[in-house]
Amino acid sequence: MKAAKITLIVLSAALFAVGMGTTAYAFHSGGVAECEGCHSMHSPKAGGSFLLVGGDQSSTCLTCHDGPTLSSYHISTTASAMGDGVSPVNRTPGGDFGWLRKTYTYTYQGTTNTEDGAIHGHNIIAGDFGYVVDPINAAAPGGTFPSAQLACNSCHDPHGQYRRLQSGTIAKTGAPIKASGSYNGTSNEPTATEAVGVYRLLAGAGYTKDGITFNGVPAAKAPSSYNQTEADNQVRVAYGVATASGHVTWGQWCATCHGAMHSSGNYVHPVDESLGSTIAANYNSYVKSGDLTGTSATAFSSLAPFATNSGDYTALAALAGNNGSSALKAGPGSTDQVMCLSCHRAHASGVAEMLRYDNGYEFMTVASNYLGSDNPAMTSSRAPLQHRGRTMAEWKTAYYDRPVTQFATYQRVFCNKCHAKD
Amino acid sequence: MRSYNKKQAIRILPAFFLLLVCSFPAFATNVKSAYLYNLSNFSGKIPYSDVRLHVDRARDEVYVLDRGIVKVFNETGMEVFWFGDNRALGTIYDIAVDEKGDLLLLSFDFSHPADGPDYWISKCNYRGDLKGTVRIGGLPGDFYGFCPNRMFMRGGELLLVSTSRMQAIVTDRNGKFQKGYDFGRIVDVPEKDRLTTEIFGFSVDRSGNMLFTVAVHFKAYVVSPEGKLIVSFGKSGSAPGMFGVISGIAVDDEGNYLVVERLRSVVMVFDREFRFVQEFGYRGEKPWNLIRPNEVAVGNSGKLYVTQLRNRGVSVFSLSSYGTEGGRQ
Repeated sequence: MKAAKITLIVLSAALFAVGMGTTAYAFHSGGVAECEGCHSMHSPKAGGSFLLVGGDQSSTCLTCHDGPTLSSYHISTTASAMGDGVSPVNRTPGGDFGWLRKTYTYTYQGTTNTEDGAIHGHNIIAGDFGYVVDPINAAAPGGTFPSAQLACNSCHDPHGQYRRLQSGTIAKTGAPIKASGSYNGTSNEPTATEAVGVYRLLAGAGYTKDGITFNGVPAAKAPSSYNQTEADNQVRVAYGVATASGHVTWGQWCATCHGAMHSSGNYVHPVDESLGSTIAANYNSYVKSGDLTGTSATAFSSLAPFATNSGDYTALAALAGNNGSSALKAGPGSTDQVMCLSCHRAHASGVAEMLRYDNGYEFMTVASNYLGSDNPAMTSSRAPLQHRGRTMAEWKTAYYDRPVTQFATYQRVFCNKCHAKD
Repeated sequence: MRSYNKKQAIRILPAFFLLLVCSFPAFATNVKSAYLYNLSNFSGKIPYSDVRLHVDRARDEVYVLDRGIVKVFNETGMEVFWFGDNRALGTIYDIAVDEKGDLLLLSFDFSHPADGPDYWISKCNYRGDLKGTVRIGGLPGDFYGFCPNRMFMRGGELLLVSTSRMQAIVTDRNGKFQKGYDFGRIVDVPEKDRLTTEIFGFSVDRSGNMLFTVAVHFKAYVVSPEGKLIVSFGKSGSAPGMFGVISGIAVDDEGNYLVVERLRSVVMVFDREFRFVQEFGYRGEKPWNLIRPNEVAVGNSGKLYVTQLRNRGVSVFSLSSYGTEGGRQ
C-alpha cells in the first residue's frame, strides 16, 4: 500500500512536470526517466532486449523523438511525411535524422549520380523506423567504432547518470539530479544538495560502448526552445571549453570515436584550438562574400558556431538563446575555439558529411538564389553537379530557412566566415 | 401470501431496477477483435510505415497517404487506384472526402518557407484530377499564422487542425473562416509549451465531437462541436488500460473508444463509459501483432485500420461487441 502511494506521488509529480511545468525538460528531466517510458515490464514482445519497448535501442528513443511535425523534442521526421522534394521538418541544432532518408539523384553527361542519404549524418540503427547500418563506412571515420553498433546510446547515456554538482565536478553518482543541466535558467543549475544532468545526457567518463570509452563530457548550454526555423532568429547553443573535473573539450569528446580526425598529432583541420586574432577578426567582420563590414557585436552565425573559451555555465547560459537578442549575436574573441561542431551538426544535416553548409561547390547561392535545379541562372552543363538534385527550396531548408538575402548574390562557401578568402 | 399495494410497488420498483442492473455484469461491454488482413496490391502486402489514413465509409474505401502519394483501397483492402504525382497538387499532407465523393487534399508548397508554408485545399474528382483550389481566409487574430496538418469533413464544413499549435478552425466549403478551437486553452497548455506538448492523435466522431490525445498528459480528450470539454480520460502506466505514449484515437459504431498505445504496441478499447475493456495487438512478428502502432480508423462492418512501423503496413482488424446494450450478440 505504501509502495502504491509512493508510486502515485511519483506519477502525480511526473504528470505535474509534464503537464504544468516547462515541458521541454519533461520525461528525462536531466537524468533517468520514467522506467516505463522505455522498458515494458510485462507486455509480451518478440525479440529485442532489456525489455525495451522498441525493436532496438534507437527505435525506443524514436518512439517519442520521431514525428511528422516540427516539435521541440523531435529529432527525426517521419518517413511518410517526406515525399519527393520535401525536406525533414525539424531545425534543431543537432539536425534531423530524416536527412538520412534523403537520397538525391542527378544526371550529368548521361550518367545518373546518387548522393546516398547515408552520408548526411550519423547512421543510427533504428529498425522500426527504417534507419539501417551505414552502407558506406564499416567503422567510425577516423576510428574503430563499428557502424553496425551505432545507436543513440553510443553517444547519449540513456539513463542519464552523469550529473554536474555544485562544485562543478561531473560525477556518475552523488547528489540527486533535480533537472536538466542543458538549459539556461537558475532552476537548471546545481545547488549544495542537488545536481543537474550533463548537457544532453551525453556520455561521460567511464561510459563504455562497443570497445570505446568516453573520458568526460563537454560543456554547453542551450535555450529550452531550440527547434525552430532560423528564418528570423538563430538558435544559439553556447558551447564551452572545459577540461577539469570530468569535462573534456568538444573535440576530445567526438574523438572518442573519431580519434584520427582530431588535430592533435594529425594533419587535419584544427579543433580545440584558439581561433587566434586573425581568424577571430575575420569571423567578426565577415557578413557575406564581399562584405567585411561586420562587427563583433553581431557576428555570430549558427552556421559556424564556435566554443566560447569558458567552462563557466552561467557565462555560457548568458550566450544561449533563440530570440535574436543582442547578447546572442556576439562574435568570438581570439581565445575562443574552433571545434567539430563549428562545421558539422551532431545528428544529421541537409549537406554531405553532416556539414552545416555545403562545400561541394564553390557557391552557396547563384544570382541571388540558392542553388537548385530550378535556379534559372544555373544553366551550364555542369549545373547538375552543382545543385546535386535539389531544388532551391530544398537547399534553403538545409540552411534552416534563412532568406537568401542574408547571403551575397554569389555567396562563396561558408568556410570564409573564418577564412575570408572571398 | 402477502400482497403489496400499488403505492408500495412504486416505491420498490427503482430499487428493483437498481438491483437488476448491478446483478448483471454481462451488461458491461465485451469486445472481440480479430486480425483480418493487411492493405495489399497484386504483389502482396504493401510495406507501409506510419502513414496517414482516411476511411470513406460512404463508399467503403480507404485512402492511404505516403510520401505525397495517395493510394485507394476497396472494401476488401485491395489497391484500386493511386494518384499524387501531379505537381499542381503540391505536397499532400492530408485527405478528406466530401459527401459526393469528391476528394479534398490539404496541399502545401514549401518553396518559400521563410514566409511560412503556403497551403490550400485542392478539390479533386475521385480520380485525383484537380478541379479547383480553395484558399483559407478571414482568420481572426487568435489564429494568425495558423498552419494545419490534419483535415476532416464535418457536416459539410472543413475542419482543419494544427496538432503542434493545438488549434483547429472550421471553414465553409469556400475556405471562409467560421469558427476556431483553441485546444491548448481548453486543456490548459500555455502558448509557450505547445510545441513540447502537441496533439498526437485526432479524429471526429459521428456527432461531430473532436477526439484527441496528448501523450505527455497521458490523456485522451473529447471536445464538443461547441468547444466544450466533454470528458478526459486515461492514467499513466504500463498495465493494460494505462497510457504510456498514446497516439491515434477513434470511436467505433458501438460507442467504444479506441486508443493506440505506442509503447506496448496495442490498441486499447474503452467502453462508452470510458471503462477499459480489452486491448489487442502487442509487439511481435505474427500477423495480428503490431509494431509501434500510430493511427487507428474505423471502417464499415466493424473493420478497424491500424498504421504501424517497420514496414508492417496497415493492419485491418474486425471488432465486434457483444453482451452490451445495442451491441451485436
